[in-house]
Amino acid sequence: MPTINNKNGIRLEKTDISLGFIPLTDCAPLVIALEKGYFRNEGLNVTLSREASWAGIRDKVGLGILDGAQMLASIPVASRLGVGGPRIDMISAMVLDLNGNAITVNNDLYDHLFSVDPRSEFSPLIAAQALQCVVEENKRAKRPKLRFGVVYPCSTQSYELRYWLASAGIDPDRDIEIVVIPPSKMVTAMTDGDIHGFCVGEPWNTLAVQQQLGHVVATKYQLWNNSPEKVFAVSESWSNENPATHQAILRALIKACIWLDKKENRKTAAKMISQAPYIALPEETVALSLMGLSLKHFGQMPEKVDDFHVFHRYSANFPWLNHAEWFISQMYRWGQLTTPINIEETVAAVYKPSLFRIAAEAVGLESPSIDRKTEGNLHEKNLLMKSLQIGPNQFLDGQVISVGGIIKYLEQQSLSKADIPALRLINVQKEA
Amino acid sequence: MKVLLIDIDDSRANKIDSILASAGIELINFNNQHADIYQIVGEMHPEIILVDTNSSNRDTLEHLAQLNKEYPRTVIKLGNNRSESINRLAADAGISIYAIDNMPPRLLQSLIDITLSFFHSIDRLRAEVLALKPEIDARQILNNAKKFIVETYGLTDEQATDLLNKNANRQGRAITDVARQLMETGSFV
Repeated sequence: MPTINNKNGIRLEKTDISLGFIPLTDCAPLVIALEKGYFRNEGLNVTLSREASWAGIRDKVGLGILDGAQMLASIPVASRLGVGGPRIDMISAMVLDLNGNAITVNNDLYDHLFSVDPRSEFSPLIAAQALQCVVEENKRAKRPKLRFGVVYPCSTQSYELRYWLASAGIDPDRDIEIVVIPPSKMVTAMTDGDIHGFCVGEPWNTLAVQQQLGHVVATKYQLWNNSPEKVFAVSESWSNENPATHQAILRALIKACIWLDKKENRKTAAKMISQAPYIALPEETVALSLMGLSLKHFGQMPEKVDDFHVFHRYSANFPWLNHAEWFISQMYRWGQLTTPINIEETVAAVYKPSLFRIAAEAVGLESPSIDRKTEGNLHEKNLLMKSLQIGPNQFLDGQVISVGGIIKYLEQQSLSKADIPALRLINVQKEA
Repeated sequence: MKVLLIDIDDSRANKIDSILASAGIELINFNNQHADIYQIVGEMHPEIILVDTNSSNRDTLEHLAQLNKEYPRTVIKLGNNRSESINRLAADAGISIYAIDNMPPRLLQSLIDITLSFFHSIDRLRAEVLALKPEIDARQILNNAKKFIVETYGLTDEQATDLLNKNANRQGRAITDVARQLMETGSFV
């Protein structure tokens, strides 16, 4: 039933809204928008629904059981292509956060890496190389493959784990075994010895280190500075039927992200999201990474990483089309996607910078005027002034992706299963 | 045909079982939080999987479907059509369906319809029971009040009913209201 939003005089198509989330630290924008009344101020009556799986979130949004949801940034792209699941025309007009994941290995494996090269303690590149030695050793001794857990096949974490492994020449599909385990069971699986390592979002890495089960060997920030992690996604048909409601949700979420990015609010945020209806873990476990403290090794002082979770600065909420391109490049690299498609058209159908700009302007924010940017060219040491518009964007392997250069980049990736000539045939874009 | 049930509680599973078994479908019920889904699916080769929509094992099923094209994958459309029944299966019965690629849509549709019709009849029964409850509660209160009066004042059943009726009439209230008040406060007013 159409109702009038009294405060701003905007007619919303729908006011009773149900949004899905997974209990992870970066469900924070949804929780804060609810708890701080940003949804209410937009005339929205929002219910947050805690979901147990990404497949569940994806299908419920596709079937219209949920109006929208927090999703891994790769899911709307994969769903549009029918990769790793049914084809669902999903769109995303907003990124909820950057960074926030990490790769943790169990104590035995860590000791092994450390004995190969003690610099594994602080260098993700060296830890990967040490792991490569262990993998070779295991092969020679005919020991079973090491097992690593991720939460979803077409997930940011899966691509990050694979990127890290491949940096040292480890083939994630042949040299090790990747299994899918829900985030809440990840730490238990490590305790039970089912897996030797995992790539997952916070607070599960911190929890594993606090419980002295393992060591963090790489963070998402170290693999690719300020890369997108979760997005807010809806189905395309829902967005077409509820354009004003969609904008109202986006405005509330942007306000929540602005609030969340302020250092002084992070403690309050940790208190709110650690509660029983949301993450249901001790506040001090959730607080650590939110306060910008990266705990990698038990008993050591956590590292200060201000950008461990980024919710707003560096134009974090802007749905950069080139970020969606990167996910597609990894789907090709690992053979999850084999049909050649027009990449430019696909990403423009899924990520919606134009919708974001409308919402941002309504809350008085400036948005980038371009839809794509170069990645890998800004090292944190080269950024003399701390800019809030643009942040470091380095890759672990030092690669640079210029605008329009995604196929060239893909061509340079090791272990790739991509059919580059076929892709070039369909993507006749100008390459830089 | 083999159908694997994952994380479907016994009350739902038993009912599905009795219906599908009569159609010659072999049902394997799997409800163990700690077992290895990879192993179960690998060994059993189910053609259809019915899983609790909110099961945390679902992302592992997605991975299995990606690893092996022969394994069941999520169905949210039948053929090329949007299916209202798949939506209702998830929303009302809390069940999501996975099927192997060459499963005929018509067969799937029937399976879903049968499952749904069962859940709807149970739901209707529950709704009817729920609708009946206030009336049953009211009778219970009235009986308790009568018993209280009989025991306290040494009156007969009939006299107790009379007394309650008179008080209700005088105060212009329903007899159950007066009875409830009597039981809660020990007084008619």
